[in-house]
Amino acid sequence: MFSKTKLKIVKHPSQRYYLLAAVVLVGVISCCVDRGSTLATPVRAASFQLTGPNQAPTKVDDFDKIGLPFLENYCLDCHDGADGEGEVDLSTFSTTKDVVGGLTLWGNVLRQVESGRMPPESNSQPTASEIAKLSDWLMTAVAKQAPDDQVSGQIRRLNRAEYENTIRDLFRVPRSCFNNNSKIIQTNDYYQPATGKMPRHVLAVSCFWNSRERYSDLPGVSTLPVDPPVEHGFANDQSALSLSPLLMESYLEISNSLLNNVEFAQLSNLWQSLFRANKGESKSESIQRAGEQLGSFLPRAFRRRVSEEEKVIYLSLFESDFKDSGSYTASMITTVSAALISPNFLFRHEFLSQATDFEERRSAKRDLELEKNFKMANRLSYFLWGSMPDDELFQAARERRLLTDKQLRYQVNRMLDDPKSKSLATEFGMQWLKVQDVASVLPDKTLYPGYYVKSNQRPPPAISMMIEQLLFFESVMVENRRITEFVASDYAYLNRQLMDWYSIDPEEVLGYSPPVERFEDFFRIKWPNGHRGGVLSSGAMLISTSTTTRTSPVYRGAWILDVIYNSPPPPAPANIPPLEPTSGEVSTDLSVREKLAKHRESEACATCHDVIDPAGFAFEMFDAVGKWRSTYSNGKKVDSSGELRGDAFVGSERFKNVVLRDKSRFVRAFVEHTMKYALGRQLKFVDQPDIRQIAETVAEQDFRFRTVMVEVVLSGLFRKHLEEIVDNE
Amino acid sequence: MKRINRRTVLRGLGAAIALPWLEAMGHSATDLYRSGTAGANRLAFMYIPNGVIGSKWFPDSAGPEFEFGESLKPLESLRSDVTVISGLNRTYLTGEPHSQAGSCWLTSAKPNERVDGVNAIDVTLDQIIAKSAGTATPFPSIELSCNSFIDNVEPKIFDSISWYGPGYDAKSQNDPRKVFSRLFGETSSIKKSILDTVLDDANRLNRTLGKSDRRKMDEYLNSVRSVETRIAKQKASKGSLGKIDYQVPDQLPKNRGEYIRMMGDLMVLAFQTDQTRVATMMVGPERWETPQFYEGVFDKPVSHHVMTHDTTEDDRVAKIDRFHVEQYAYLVNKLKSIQDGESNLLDNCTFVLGSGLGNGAQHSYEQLPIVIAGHGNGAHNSGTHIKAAQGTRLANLWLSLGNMMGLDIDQFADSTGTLGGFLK
Repeated sequence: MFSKTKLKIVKHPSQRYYLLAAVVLVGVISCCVDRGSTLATPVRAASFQLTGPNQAPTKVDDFDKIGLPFLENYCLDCHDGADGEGEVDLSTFSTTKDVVGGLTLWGNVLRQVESGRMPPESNSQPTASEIAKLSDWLMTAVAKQAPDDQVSGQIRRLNRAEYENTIRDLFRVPRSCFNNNSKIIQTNDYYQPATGKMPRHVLAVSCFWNSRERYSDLPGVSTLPVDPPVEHGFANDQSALSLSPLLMESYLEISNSLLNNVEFAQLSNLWQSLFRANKGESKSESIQRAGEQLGSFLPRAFRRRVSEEEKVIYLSLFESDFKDSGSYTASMITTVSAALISPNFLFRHEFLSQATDFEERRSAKRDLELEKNFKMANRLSYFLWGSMPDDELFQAARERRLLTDKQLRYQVNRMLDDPKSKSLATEFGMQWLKVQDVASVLPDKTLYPGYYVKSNQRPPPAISMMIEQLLFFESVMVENRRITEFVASDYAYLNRQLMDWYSIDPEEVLGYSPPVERFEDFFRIKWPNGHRGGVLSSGAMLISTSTTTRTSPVYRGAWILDVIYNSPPPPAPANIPPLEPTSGEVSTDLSVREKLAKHRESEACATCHDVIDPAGFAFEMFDAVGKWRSTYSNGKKVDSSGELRGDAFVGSERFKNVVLRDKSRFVRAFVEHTMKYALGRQLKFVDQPDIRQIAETVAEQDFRFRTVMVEVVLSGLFRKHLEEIVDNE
Repeated sequence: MKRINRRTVLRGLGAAIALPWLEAMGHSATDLYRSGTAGANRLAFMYIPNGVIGSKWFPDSAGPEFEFGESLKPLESLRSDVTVISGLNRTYLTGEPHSQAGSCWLTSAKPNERVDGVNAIDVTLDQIIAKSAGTATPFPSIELSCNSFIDNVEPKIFDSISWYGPGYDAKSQNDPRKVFSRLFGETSSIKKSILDTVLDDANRLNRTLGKSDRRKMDEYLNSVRSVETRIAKQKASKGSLGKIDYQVPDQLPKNRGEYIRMMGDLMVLAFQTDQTRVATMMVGPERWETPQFYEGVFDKPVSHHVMTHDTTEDDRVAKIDRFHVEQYAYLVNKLKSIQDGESNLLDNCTFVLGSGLGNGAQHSYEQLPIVIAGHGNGAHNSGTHIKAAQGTRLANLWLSLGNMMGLDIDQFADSTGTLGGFLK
């Protein structure tokens, strides 16, 4: 049952607001997409219904005209009353006010309907225009919500990548200072976004290969612990970034080992002026110089204006330390070490500043306009560079120029032209495409004997596949291509190893055959046919969604729903009924498809797997290590057919066509992913009007990658809460 | 009724920054190592993800005459040192079952409270106990994990059983070399003046922050504070630390058993040298799919989680269960072999092995596997199989352990009382 009481906003003493409703809806679909699940469902027509172009906006007062008829026609047969299906009761709404009060539930209703999961296939289906009407109506309902319910955002610490990049830029070091083994490619020389072109040939060595500890940027400099990933989100998500004592210890060790590192001192273009002792300088001259140095260092370290009072805190540390040690360098290292573990350095606080004490705020005589500009500089730089603002951004902020559309457009384009934009590919892009999952694949040695090469001669294919994915993402980004190329494209970057693996004749695509041992040479090639191309049929996706012994259409389908549609299937609940074990005689002889079908017992499973499995089956022509195949190991012919709500397809190429027939759902999902990364948080239904607006603009402007980035920055969501909000306890 | 005021635990840490510098300096090395060590009770949790095959795990008959099932066989020679407990349940809160299983295993929140918005994650039993039992040692607690992080695919709610508070995980260490150097290496030469300065700066910043941001700042202040305390205590105790007999490995172990034993050895070493009295160790994150090499069990790497969801694989899954019990038995034997005061470490230890799921295939929250080794200073009823009455809550056991470790409370999470038959 789903009563109004459950929709009540719960105010927890130590949290903000949480709508209990969100979680209850999980019950709508009991399914088994646990990542390890081998549960099966029949292949019935799946559902990828898309909404049409938006209709003229309607009023929220139209509950009786839009909401109610929709519910009556498509929902209330099952979701009516306390014993409604899946514990969802949609009968409690009778006015627009109710709807505004229950938007989280309605957001889920819309998502279910737009993704085609609801109503069930056996029931009558809403038309595209009915769905669009419902959507527009709900968007206007969102606008009626009290602003307080939309508050989100907190100070959050820099994640590992942001920390490393910020240190690099703060000390003006031309390259990374840390041993980061999770870098897909060590070298960055090829990445020259200002040219608008990716080179045809890229020399790419991965840090993943051979030894996890082989690659070292600055010997002796300690490293940060790895940040945990975020399910259906990004590693800059505020919810994931806690600060444990262990991490604090790492910060302390880093300041120590970095600032005293000889090589670092040579690489840093700041080291000399900041730390060097001047011979013949008197004590008071030294202190004065230290004050000047800190006056320019601290605002950069804290990425905002720094008050005199704050500067004094650090200058006093210098003075007292200098009195004891007599060494300018040592005392400055002490002082800078302190700044590097200050919360002003470690945390980003440009999202929402809540002042509890009105008086204090007023008395501080703060220049709020200036603060807004600095916050914007930080939001931009951490979104597009994963690092601190550069001098130009700081200057624009100081001159209060950073808030106009024109300036923001200019800055986004300038910043994407800067090599620092690589972090958008390595962080946003690679996390979006779940490339990290590839690092640990271990295909079965007996079943895939060619996978393992003699140690230390070549990396296994999976490593090359990660590079393939990164270079592909970067080419869409650098060349400002259409984001729809992520779904289907006619080119890729491959090395000789992958050409062989994918059965691509190098003579045909390159005109010559590079030697096998040149695994570090990646070439831009045109795919000879439509089997591959795009992230869906990339080696990285295919291999990471397989188990050690076979493909998993369920994983592949779930991957597609998550990455392509930002509509990940809900997890399997607890206490799922036990399945009949398959008897020995059938289990070995069946294809994956038959096995999955055989397992089908429960209607509850089908609700979800009807949507998941067909997408996964489209890629059955690729085996568990990403190779093309036409038969299974038992000799049976591979069947990659399926149906997406009336659109039959066979194989990956047709599937991609079906996805691209109406691009709006993919575009909206890509905008959602981008926005999640830009804001460092999960999205809520109240964010939808902005998202949909951006998606429309992107579609109007030829689906270009840069349009997405520009529109995200120009959106209300990205600019929200630049002002202060008073948080009344 | 005395309950834990969970919300003050973290707050308290933040507020504690006003305390005088190096309060631990009052302890002499003798305090820490002589009087502290002998007989002090240690508490450790070893967590197995993805549940177990119950039919091969649980004994049929209750009481001291129980038969060791196939999976628990490796403990047979330790019969008088272990307590097997069956019949414990937890309440499942709609949502992702694996993450909840691990992150809420030791939680002090009631299961129907979505304390952090998604799960009932709040300060965990080990951390509450560490607040009191851990004051005498350099580390109030240590958190270890045998997750090599090669892929780093599991979010923290799958990868943490130990939490300081909602959303605030006690980040575990996974590299044995780093664990060793943290425990026994050179104590950082961090200057008091640096910490004073940042605390000054942080307090200034804190005044300008709103409620929700202050929560984040509490984490920060807690971290600075605990580093400060730890360094002071480590310095104070350095002299009494004899030569540590431990071979630091060159690289991360490749095989499961090797990895688990290596981390376990470090935990035992930390207990032996009284660096800490509370420890948690995860064998791996919940839902972890990265194929692993279970040496001596299968000749190829397998994915534990994938296997648990294929009921035709039950026998093979049970072999992994037994494999984990073997590693546990190794550590129990190790504890037993170490002299501690008049007795041995195992006598003064409570070492829990368990999982937050019963049956992994079904994501069941019933019939949770629990084995407790050690004697808790003579507090345990060892050498028996306790068959808890149907519906008995896991939190009842946690309440018993809390009381045993000195917590003056009569409810923990959703407990309905202590677990009958476990404590003497």
